[in-house]
Amino acid sequence: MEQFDVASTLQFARYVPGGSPLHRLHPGAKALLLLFGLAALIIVHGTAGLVLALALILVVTLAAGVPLAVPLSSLARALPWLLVIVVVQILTVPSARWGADYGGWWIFTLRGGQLYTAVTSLLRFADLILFLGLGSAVTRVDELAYAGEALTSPFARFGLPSRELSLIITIALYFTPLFSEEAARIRKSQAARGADFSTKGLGLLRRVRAYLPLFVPLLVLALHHAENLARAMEARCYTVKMGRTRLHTYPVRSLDVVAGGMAAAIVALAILHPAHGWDQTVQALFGPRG
Amino acid sequence: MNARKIAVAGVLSAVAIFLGAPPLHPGFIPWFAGASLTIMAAPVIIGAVLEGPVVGTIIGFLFGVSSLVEAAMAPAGPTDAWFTNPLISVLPRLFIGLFAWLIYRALEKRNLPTALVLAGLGGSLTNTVLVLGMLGLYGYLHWGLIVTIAAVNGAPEAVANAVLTLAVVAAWKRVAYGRKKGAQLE
Repeated sequence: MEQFDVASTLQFARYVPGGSPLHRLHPGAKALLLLFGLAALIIVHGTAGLVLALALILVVTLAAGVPLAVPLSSLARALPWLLVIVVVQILTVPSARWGADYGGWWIFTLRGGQLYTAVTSLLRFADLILFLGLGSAVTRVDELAYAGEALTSPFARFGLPSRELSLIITIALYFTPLFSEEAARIRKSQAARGADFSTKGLGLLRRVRAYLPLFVPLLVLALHHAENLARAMEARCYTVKMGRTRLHTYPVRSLDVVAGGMAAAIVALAILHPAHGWDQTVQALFGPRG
Repeated sequence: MNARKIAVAGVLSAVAIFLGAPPLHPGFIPWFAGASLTIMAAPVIIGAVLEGPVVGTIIGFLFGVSSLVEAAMAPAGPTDAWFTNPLISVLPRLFIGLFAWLIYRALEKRNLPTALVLAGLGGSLTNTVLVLGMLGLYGYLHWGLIVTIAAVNGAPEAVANAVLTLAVVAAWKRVAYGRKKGAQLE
């Protein structure tokens, strides 16, 4: 009967409660750190920066009181897949073909440059996974919704729907587990009406049509929910004009401004990238360039 | 943005998040050789078609962010590692709604079912082309392999999204199409 029960536990953002300074930061500051941290991790291209980032993330995770097991378990789950794509990348992508030659076979070659790219890619993915794990461990769901509004509110005067964004995120997070139950219910009732969801040996159009009895009712139901929600909001005179108040306010403290400044500094550091010397030393280990 | 746009954006984003959610990934229709056709672009396209490009972009943004978080927290395959990079998981998805809406607006007066199918195809192909394009620019995949994936996986995926868009929007708007002209609903 498992095929009828779409899992009701949709936990993908794992919050670890705590009282550390990181936990108590303003949601906007957390979002800035998250965004700029991600940007920095994407921009940095040398092993020095990536190793430094790794150390920094682990230190901050410990300082926030988040047990290292939490982000490291996500990394452990991803590790087999990381190795697969890194192997695919180093064996087939031509741009990394520099450095010491370790031979080749058919369309595959193995050179030092490819190994260097493999190491850098692995480090970058590990950094991204650990960083996102840390971010979701210290951010509550309601802070998440407010963070979107906090970050985009300066741009609201240019037409960006900033206040609406936090409401949309809240609505989305509210309805997601509901659709999990609805989908299970729809699957069972369609099966009772004789729908067959197996797709073995079927062509494209027939496969898609096999799933229509599940997805069309689900999406139409979603639109009905939206219609009812919109009517309820209008009946309560909901308006998006300025002057709305919040139940939970998030005052900005000096620590939050400092955190925002640090976020900008991290990106600047990633762009300016002072550790060129060390990168060149590491690259030289993999053989001559050019 | 009025209440209706907010509600549709929130609810369809919930559907997009649910379709991609671990562990069961309901939005993955099994294809062959272990690959799947993903229909998470359909709520984005439907939102754009029904309520406009801003709603479509918001749904696309939330879809992208949810795939970013899911890839980092609960990876289900080797390709999930790429989606921890927001330039690959979030940025391309912002444009699905825009292109789907543009196509729909250009054609809706002439023939609604055709407009829906082409909007579905266009939105899904936007997703495929932009995501694979970013993967190629990053050097994660050989360009030849990318073209193969786009043809073998992207094209059927576009058809799947197009069929779903047509079925849902036509059902919602009570528009008859095809030989059987829909069910007798009145």
